[in-house]
Amino acid sequence: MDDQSLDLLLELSALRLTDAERIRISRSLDWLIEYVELLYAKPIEEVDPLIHAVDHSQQSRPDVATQVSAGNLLETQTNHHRDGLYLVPKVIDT
Amino acid sequence: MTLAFRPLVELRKLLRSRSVSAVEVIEHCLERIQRIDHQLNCFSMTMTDEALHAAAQADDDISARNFKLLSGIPIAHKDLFCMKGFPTSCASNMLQNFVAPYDATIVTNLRKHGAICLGKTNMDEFAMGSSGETSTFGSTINPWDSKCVAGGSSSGSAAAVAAGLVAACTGSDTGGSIRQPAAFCGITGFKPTYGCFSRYGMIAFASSLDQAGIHTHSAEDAALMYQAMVGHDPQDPSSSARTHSANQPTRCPLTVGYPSAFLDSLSEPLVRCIEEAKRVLTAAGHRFVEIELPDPNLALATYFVISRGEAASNLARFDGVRFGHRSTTQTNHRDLCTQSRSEGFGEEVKKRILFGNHVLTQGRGGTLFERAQKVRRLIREGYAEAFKKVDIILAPSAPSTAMPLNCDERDSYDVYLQDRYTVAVNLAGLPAISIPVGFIDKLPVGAQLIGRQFSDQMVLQLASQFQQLSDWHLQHPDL
Repeated sequence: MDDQSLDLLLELSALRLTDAERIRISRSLDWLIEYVELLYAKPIEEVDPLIHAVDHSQQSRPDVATQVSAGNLLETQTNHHRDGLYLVPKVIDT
Repeated sequence: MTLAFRPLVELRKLLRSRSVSAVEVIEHCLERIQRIDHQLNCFSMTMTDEALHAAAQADDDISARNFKLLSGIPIAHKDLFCMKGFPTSCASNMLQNFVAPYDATIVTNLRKHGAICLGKTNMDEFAMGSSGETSTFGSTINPWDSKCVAGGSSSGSAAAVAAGLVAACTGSDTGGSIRQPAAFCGITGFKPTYGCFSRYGMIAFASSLDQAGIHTHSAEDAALMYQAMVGHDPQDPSSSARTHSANQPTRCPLTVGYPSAFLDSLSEPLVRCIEEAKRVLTAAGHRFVEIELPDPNLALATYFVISRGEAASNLARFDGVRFGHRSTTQTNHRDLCTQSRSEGFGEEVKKRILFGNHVLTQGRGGTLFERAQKVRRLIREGYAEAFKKVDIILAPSAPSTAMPLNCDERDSYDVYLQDRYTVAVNLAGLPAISIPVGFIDKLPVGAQLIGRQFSDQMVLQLASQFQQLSDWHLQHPDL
């Protein structure tokens, strides 16, 4: 995988790598990309994608609230909240 | 009375007859964990006070003849099941300070049936690994050989049962993460049909493949755990609404499929162990039939693409804002997300996210992910075709015994290949159990019994019958 392609994936994945990680992960991605070439050996034009292994229709349930909102509980996971809102650094430069 | 390594069914009898109290059982396990776990690193945390409190309650219940299915049975949960008020870390720095705000359904069900949780078990980070070495808590050590891995990703669960620290553990199996460590540690590891156990509260790796499961000493123990864990959960949209029972009678003899081609790349001693398992089942009256199954290497390629594509999507939720690690070095919102993720995730997780985003965006004539979903259908059909001829399949659980610790980069590709014989089961949503079938150089060997969808009871019963006719599952490490 060339540097440009890896940089694009890093941007898409919201990740940064150290130089050492970059070398190791690049090699590993190359290995995986070569391995999954096997998928091109099978003719699949007439085949529908399988999304879930077990065929079952979406379950419906009564439209009744059974749980309290997890919102307040989830807020306890971070100190960075105020008045029910999460605090983040500046999003748009003005 | 020695309590270590007692099968769950025996402990249950002892507790029921009040030959031993729940407090004695739990104290014994906690003492053993205290004494042994620093050598093995099975646990990410223990819950001493809560377990002893629950044990006292269990003794009161038993005295009042209010005996539940698993009253007083010591268990542990893989550290990806949420337990309200307790850390749930997925063995990742990303979730180091995460305290679960609710219970996973599996946790609720086992507690309701009287099981007592002694702690959370170590694992590969976000269940991504086959050696137990990607954990932020460090590697789990194989109880049979301190120079070897316990397997993964449910490394701590398998090693804790093998070392006699608890009677049973929960685990999860996305591509073999229960069955392979069970094989490496010489215990029984059961993965049910996809949808039998709720995934609610189980932190996701690859949602269409992830399935909770069980580590125990025997298939009979696994059947009891299954009974407590199975059932439809409206909170999990992929949960099956079918009724389940581990105790339905299975007709005998069964026709057992034997994919000889799977054995071609195995070492001679490993083949001998599988052949011996075949001999035991044949002697019990079952009929073996040669079958062809989809190429394990093709299944592995399909698994690589689907699991990593789903992982990239599932792990996008970790943005450093709402929960999980938040970097202190950020200057803007985008940087907060990127820096938090880069600091929080380990290298294996980063690798899988990157490959996941590659397969979701790249490919020839459509994305690789879509192509893999099509091949997945062919693999499921290949297994369905085999199950027209046979009731159940006998196959290896792993291509080797436990690997040495600290493999180098070249060997890490071999670690990926560890899942060669297990991933197709997840792609096709089948139930499978790994049972001990021998030893090579003092390390355990496992074999899988694989059933058609929703034939979980048949799989458990045949495994149980095998264990009545063999004693590999009764061997324990010297600890």
